[in-house]
Amino acid sequence: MSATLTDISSTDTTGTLLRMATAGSVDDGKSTLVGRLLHDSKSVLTDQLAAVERVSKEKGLGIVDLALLTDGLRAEREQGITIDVAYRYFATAKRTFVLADCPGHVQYTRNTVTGSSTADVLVLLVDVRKGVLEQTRRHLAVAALLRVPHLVFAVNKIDLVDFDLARFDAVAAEIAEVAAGLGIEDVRCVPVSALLGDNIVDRSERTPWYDGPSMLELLEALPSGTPVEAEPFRFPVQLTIRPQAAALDPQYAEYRGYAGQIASGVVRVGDRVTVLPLGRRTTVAGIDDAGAELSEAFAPMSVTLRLADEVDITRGELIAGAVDAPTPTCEVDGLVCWLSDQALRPGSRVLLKHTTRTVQGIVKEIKGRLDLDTLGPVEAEALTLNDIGRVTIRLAAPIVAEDYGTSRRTGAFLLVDPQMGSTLAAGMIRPGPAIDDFEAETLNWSI
Amino acid sequence: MTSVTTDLRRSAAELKALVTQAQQVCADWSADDVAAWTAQHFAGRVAVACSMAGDTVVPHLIAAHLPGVDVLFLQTGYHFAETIETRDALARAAAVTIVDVLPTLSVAEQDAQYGARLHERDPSLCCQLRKVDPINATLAGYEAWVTGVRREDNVLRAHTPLIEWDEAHQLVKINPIAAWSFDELLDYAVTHQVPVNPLLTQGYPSIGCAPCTRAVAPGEDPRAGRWAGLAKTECGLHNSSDQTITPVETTFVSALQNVSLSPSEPVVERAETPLAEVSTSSTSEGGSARGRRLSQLKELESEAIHIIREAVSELERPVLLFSGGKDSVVMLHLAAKAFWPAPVPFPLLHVDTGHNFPEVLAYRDAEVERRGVRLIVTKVQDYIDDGRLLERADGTRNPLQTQPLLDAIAEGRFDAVFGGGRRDEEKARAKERVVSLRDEFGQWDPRNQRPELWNLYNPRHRPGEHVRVFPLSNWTELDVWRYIEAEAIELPELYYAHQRAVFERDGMLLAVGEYSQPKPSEQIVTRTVRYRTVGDMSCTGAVESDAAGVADVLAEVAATRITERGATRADDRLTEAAMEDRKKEGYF
Repeated sequence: MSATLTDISSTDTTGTLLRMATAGSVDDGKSTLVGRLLHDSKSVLTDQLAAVERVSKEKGLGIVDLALLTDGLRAEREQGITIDVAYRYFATAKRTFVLADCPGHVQYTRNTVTGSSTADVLVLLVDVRKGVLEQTRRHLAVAALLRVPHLVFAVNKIDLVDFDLARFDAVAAEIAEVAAGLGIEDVRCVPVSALLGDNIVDRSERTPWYDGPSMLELLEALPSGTPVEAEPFRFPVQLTIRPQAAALDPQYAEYRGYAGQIASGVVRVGDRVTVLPLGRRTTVAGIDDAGAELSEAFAPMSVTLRLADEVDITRGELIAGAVDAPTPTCEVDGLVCWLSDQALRPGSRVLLKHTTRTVQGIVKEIKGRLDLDTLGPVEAEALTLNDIGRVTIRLAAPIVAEDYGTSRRTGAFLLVDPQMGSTLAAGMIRPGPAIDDFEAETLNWSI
Repeated sequence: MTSVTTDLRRSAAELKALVTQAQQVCADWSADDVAAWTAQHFAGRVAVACSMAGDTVVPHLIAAHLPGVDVLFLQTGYHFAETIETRDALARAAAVTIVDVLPTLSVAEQDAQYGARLHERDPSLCCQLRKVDPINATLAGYEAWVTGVRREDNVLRAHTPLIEWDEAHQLVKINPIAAWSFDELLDYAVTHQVPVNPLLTQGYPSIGCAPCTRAVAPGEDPRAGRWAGLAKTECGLHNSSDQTITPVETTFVSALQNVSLSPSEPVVERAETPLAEVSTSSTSEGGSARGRRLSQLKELESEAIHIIREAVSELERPVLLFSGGKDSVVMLHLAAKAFWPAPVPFPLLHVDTGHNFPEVLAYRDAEVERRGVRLIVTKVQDYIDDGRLLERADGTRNPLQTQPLLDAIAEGRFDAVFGGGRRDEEKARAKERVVSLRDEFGQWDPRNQRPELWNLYNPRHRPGEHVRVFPLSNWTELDVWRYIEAEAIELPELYYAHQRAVFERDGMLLAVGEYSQPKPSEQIVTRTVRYRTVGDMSCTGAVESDAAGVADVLAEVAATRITERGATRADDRLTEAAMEDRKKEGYF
């Protein structure tokens, strides 16, 4: 199983941002990998490195423990584990990386969900001596659910099996099998030693049987997300800008614009659009970027749209391309990753936050949950912490729900506790089978 | 370089004799004849120089007679992705040994030594470091080199012989396709399935490093896109003269317009664009454009504006912490953009330690006036005067800011407090959320943070609680400076090099002033310094620097190997967990 750079469609990535997440199980060397990426891409500054060298020495370690670069909080230092998502930043000559470093401990799966939600690529760590663990399957299932566009497996500690091709191939085959079971096609495996640096930045001479790119080469070439041109135009309105007498310049006293971040697609001046959920039609009269008039804009730009007709639009409405406008709904059917200590039951009252719109909801039905051992659906009366389940939620007002499978931004939602305000679940709108169909359903409901 | 023999190199005289001999008969040799001659005389002693642009046919030609021949490719670190892909494709398509010729310095090291983006300031030096020196060093091991120079490239190359003596390199120089037209080149590539750089057919007839190459318009000199805007058309590899070149009329470009070798993505403008520009296809007319991509700086700006608008929409009473420091200045700039043409819809809050740099206060007041925003000032001095706070033994006041801040938040009933904090600043900040809940005591609980999913921020809170909002979370110090440059944002002058009386304490240069006096053992010296952060004057150190403007600072920051807090903030150095402790207490 070898990946080459040319497998990746040849769009240019120079000067762009790649959001990546890393996840792994306890002791598979994830912090070391992250430390190694930072160190070898020369993103570690002198004083940080000096501190790590000093601490390594104090601990009596023979070599510099690069994992110390990323173990941020005191509790983690004491327990020697990573307990919360930490964000790291590094850049190469080619591109800039935002890295969400997700914890390896089994009870903190919610952090992998967090990291994966914004990631263009998830880098999963596997210890070549241990192969695919339960935790690996869980992470893989989460990545599939959250539709992370690219998955890269760092098959780590290859030095501990003497850079043995057979051992690597066995693990790679196992990964391919599990991934295929989840319907994931785009998986790449790189044999690495995070500790020694093999195939992290430079291709290792100790794995002559591997002719693919190094970890960093691979990450530099990955396209970030789908091309905007292939997506429908979606613009959730954040707020209306109407300065009236307060305008910075009297000429803008009559200005009325709708501010937001383009969720997907491209918009041009003159485009026909539909304002949802009511479905009014109008035309884009202008696109403003803080005083600069644009002829077109695309995701993920933050802009302000002016419309040809005097339509009264408020926060939470969606401006969509007129030709492919979606249909609003008062009931959503979707998958949720349950992130709260309190259980979710039918009849639970929640707030559902979808794009810039928050509506009240009642859980109508829990259709089942995903058994992460068998990767198959099982019946469930309630969802508890770390469960991934399928639910139907009735809403007090319509939202413009789209299938998360095709629209990450307009298919995602949060469930929020109406009293406490805490975030209960990460949700993804995925119309799917009813509980009766469970027998016949295999795994496609999960992704 | 597997195919170089270990035999002694022949003398210059012997090699010159070979050239003279060949020149008498080679005038009408085909490219293939030249390749055969090369193989006959230089097996194991020749390298093909290839830029992976239109010259990929040359390695193929030579490899037909010399399988495994060394092909030298200059890995400048600045290539287009397509160029690298072409290199990889050639490696698979032809029987060649590709030798990546590396400059002595990596791009990062060059940036450190000469400043970032040397190519903008001194392209000749950049070419020298990244192309000319490395290739010269590599060529020294050979007797001959083969190039893809063609007579129609430009007037300087109009008389290029097929075989010549290269005085500069003391090598035999072989130009097998010197007489070819571009069409002949393409014919060969198509017939023999040689991969050609896809940019060639997308308006880039001549391809070098990405920052110094742009597309040319139909009818323009094919090499007009190289070092555009600069009086430079050659990197120095093929000639060392300073002759200027007059554009020549060729059919080159128009031929390119009609040719498509392979289906590929259209060209994306890659020149260093100002921030306001987004990368779109240079051929974009109407709806056919593909390949739109946001520069990373524009993406960060869009994300920050989105966050600011979300917080203002969902919360009742936002306020922006404003110290006049660069991060808060960038925050105010972004807020102004987010609500244009309406004014910034929230006030600013300054926690005044009383140990301010006077020029920062002056800047703060001018900026407030210019933006027409309301400024609230809460003073640590008031707390010390009435006994609510005690002056610390070490005299620093940064740790004393927490209580006045929390009181001001409670008094103003602010439920959203914007800060310019970035996650790259310090290890404890790396785990901070964009929207971070604080209890009524202002405390941050790192073990009980809300998961932050997609770009769906959840700022809901109970009475008495508030959220801190960090729109610059994903920015790095370098991003902030690049943004300041791109948007021409004015900063307090002490961010730039100036003369100042300072003394050294714990490896830091502290300014001499009312609040920071040297101990008897500490000597006052005048140095050229600048500040990387501005805070309590008594514990904020200066760095020695000549960086007089934003471009200089950018170059310096790119080269700096020490974190900004580690360098200049005494209060973070107290203990390793210093920042985490202060954050838990409610500090920003």
